[in-house]
Order: sequence, then structure tokens, then C-alpha cells
Amino acid sequence: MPKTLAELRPVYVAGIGLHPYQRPSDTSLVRLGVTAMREALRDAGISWTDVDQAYTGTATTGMAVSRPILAYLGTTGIGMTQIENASASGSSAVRTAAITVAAGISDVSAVLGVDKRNHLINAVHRTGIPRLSAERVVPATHFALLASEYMDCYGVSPQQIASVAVKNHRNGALNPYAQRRKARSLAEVLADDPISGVLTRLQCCPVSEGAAAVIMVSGDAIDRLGLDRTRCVRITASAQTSQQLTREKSYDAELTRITSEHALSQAGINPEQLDVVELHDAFTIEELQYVEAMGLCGPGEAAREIQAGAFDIGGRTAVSASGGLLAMGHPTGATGVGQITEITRQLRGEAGPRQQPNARRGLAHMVGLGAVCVAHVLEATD
Amino acid sequence: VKKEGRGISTISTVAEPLLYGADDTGAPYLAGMRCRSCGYVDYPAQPFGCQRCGSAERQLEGLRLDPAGSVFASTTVHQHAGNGVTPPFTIAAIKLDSGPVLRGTMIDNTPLPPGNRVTGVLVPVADDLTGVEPSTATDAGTGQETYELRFRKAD
Repeated sequence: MPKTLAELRPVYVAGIGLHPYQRPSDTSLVRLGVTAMREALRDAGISWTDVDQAYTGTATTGMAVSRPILAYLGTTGIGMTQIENASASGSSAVRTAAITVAAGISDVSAVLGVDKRNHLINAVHRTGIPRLSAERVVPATHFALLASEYMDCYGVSPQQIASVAVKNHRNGALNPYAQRRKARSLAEVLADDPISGVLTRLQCCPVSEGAAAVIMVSGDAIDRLGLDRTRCVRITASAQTSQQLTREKSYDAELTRITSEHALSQAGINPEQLDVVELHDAFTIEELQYVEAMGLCGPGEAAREIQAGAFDIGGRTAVSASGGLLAMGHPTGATGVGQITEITRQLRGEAGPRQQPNARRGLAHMVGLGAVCVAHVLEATD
Repeated sequence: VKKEGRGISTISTVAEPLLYGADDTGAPYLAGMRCRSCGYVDYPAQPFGCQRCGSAERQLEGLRLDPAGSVFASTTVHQHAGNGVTPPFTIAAIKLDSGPVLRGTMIDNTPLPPGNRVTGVLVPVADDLTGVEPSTATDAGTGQETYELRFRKAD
């Protein structure tokens, strides 16, 4: 039988760092990457020379991203690998590093997530198999179709869908690393430029660049390097799945249901025990569908729960406390790594004005084109 | 729309021949497939394998599908940078009567409640799908017209 992360040696997040997410600019790729990684090393209290493996989650920047950035931390000759999994690239890099440390092949792994908005090629266009309306159904339209179906199914209003953006923009305004740092009223969200269906511009994540980094260590490395164990957060589950033949059922929601179920079962906890959740809210409708798919509330209840504040900071489970993709931004490969930095900050109690009280357990979730889904569960250790 | 599917005697060229075509009467069909091994009906046709059971090419057969089905979601697109059509336009998620699910471009922006029946029609467009609307695309003067599959509410 295949083993889960929980059956291998414990793996911990010891350090986190970010380069603020921002609109595409002339900032060097190297500046993005080294800023995040130096902050993560400083946060962990280790040197780059202590790191024995590096994994970079990246999707849109180009081939062979790692060394052209990481060489400027000092050349050490360690193993370096890029991991591409569309929007879930950073999450899959986290998963690969976690497995490598848990298996005993690495003691200290560095995970970088980084992307600039360069030329994007989706391999599905290289299959020679055309798809009807392919160029016309961009992600905003894909999710506007899901919104249409969801509203019909549960009698939910466009205002209720938009209330997700109000919450996440409010959280993003409190996050110094967020691209959109302005609280927005429901009226502002609804009155913004219409993109597709009920989705307005402020209900769609921005195009971003940025970087995030985490240092992942074994228990041995904590002792050997004299790290502060109370600030280490344990990764207790890692799950990854791909799309099944769902036909008219939303595969994004199905993937989320199955993957988060795997992750929670590995961690041995129930959805109600989650204090913080960072999920793939590239479009408002996604958050409604995913909190239901994760079991944070019942089917069709998300809109009412969000309006009642259940998923606010200070509510039952803080969802997208970072501002999520909607407000913090979505620098493709960085995003999944950035979620781990937010959850770690929350579980350490270091999230300042975004702090969810008594946060002990968190779940990070990304879906990516393909479609794929990755989820991790993190738990405070002290 | 100047001309619609049935009644066109000769369809010389369709914009996406791997996806759809016109039969002898000018009626549109979807270029689908069936797996002889498990019976799975898929769209579009491809020669690589069955997505359900994994059977290889020799078990796959082409199958013309009727472009008729029910809408289960729709959206009117207001901003769009891609080729082929100028916003606003409406995309419908359609469950075909034969099983597969697809996203089709509607001929107009009439509201589409879920459960609405739709059917495919071939409409003349610019031959490279570069954003010329059907109503203006037929004056090329070459005598050759390119047709694109769109959907309309069934009668």
C-alpha cells in the first residue's frame, strides 16, 4: 500500500518569505526570487549553505528557472528542480519538498514559488485535438458558467456571489504583501466592469508577478541547526488528484471535495477543526463552491454563511485571510507557496491584524488547469 | 443571421472540420466518437484512446452526433480579447442528448434558462474566425463561404 505523509518522519515549515505580489512590472525575476528566499532563510534562522535541495514552483516564466535566481544566494551545488502544475505549481513544489524531507532524502529543502507574466502556452493546444469554443471560454467564462449553474441550483443572488470579494478585499487591505490593498463595498464590487456573466473585474483575481518561499525541515534538522521549535509548523497531510470524467458536474468542485477529503483523512481531522483555509479563489464563485466541497458548510449554504461572517477573520474558519487570489493576487507558480506562508504565520500567531484567534490547524488548496488539485494540512506544534 | 443550418444545399467549408460538418442535406453534425469496448460516447473524436476505459485506436469509431441538447448554464461575455467573436456574446454549457457535454457559442444573447433546448446551426463567417460577425461575413465575393457552428434555442 502507498504510504501517506503522516506515516513518514515529521516534516516542518521552519521559515517563510515573500516578495510582495504586484502588477507585471520590470522588476527582475531574480529580485522577486532572492527577496522571498532571503526572507525565508532569515525567518528560519538558517543560511543558504544549510539547504540541501531546492524546488521551484513555476508555470509561466520559462524553462530552467531555479539556478538563474538561486545562484545569487551563493553557489552551493545542491539539487534544483522546477515543478510545473499550472496554478497549482507552487503547491506541487511544496508537496515534492515535503515528501523528500519526510522520506529522509533531504534534511532542509527550500521551496520557491515565482512567476512573471510571460508568454503562456497551455499544452492542451499542442495535442492536435481541437475543442469547440476553446478560445472563447477563458477562465472567467468557465467560472461564470459555474456561477450561473450555482445560482440556479440554490437560488443565490449575484450580490451573494459578490460578497466573497468584499470579504477577501477587506482581508487583502490588511496584508502588506497583497497586490490589491483596498477594502471594497458590495456596491463597488457590483458596479465594477462586467467581465463575464455575473463576474465583475473585482470578482476576478488580478494578473500578478511575485514570489514566495518556505524552508522545510526534518526534526533532526531542527535539533542540529538549533531552530526555534515553537515557530515550526508541521505539515500533517499532502494530497493531489486529477480530474475525473464528471461530464456536467463541476470538476473543480469534485476535485476539491475528493482532494480535501484525502488530506483531512490523512491528518485525522474533520473540516470543523480547521481554523484557517487558503483556497483557490481566482473567481468569487469558486470560494462558495469550495467551502461546501471541503465540508466547511452544507451544499448551498455558503452564501448565507459568508454573509453571516462564518468565514471572516474571527469567524468559525477564516477563509482567504491573506486576501486570497482575489486580493493578494495570483502570480501563478508563487501562489501555492504563498498560501503556506499565510497559514504558517496564522498558526504561529504572527499574522497581526489578520490573525485568526487560536489558530491551530490550516488547509491550503489550489486547483490548476488540467485539471489538478493539491491540498495540504498544517498544524501548530507547541 | 442570413442563413441557418437546414436548407443550405451545399456547405463548401466549415471553420473547424475536426469538430463539425454538414451532412448531404446541409444539416450540421458534431464529429464525435464511440468506444466499441465500453460504449463511451465522447466529443470531439480523436484517435488516441478512450478517456473512460483506455482502449486504444482500434476500438474507437467515429460517430456523427446530433448537435441537440439541453442548456445547464450560460453566460454573456462582456470582455474578451480572443479571436473569433466580438463581445457581448453568449456561451452555453450544453448536455448533448447523446451524453457528452460541450460549451457552444449562441447565435444571439437571448436569456437561456437552464433546461432550455438548443440545437446547432451553421452560420457563414470570415474563413479565419477573426471576429467578423456572421451578418457581415458573406460579401467576400469568392463564391466560397465558411460556416461556423453556433447554437440557437430549439423551436
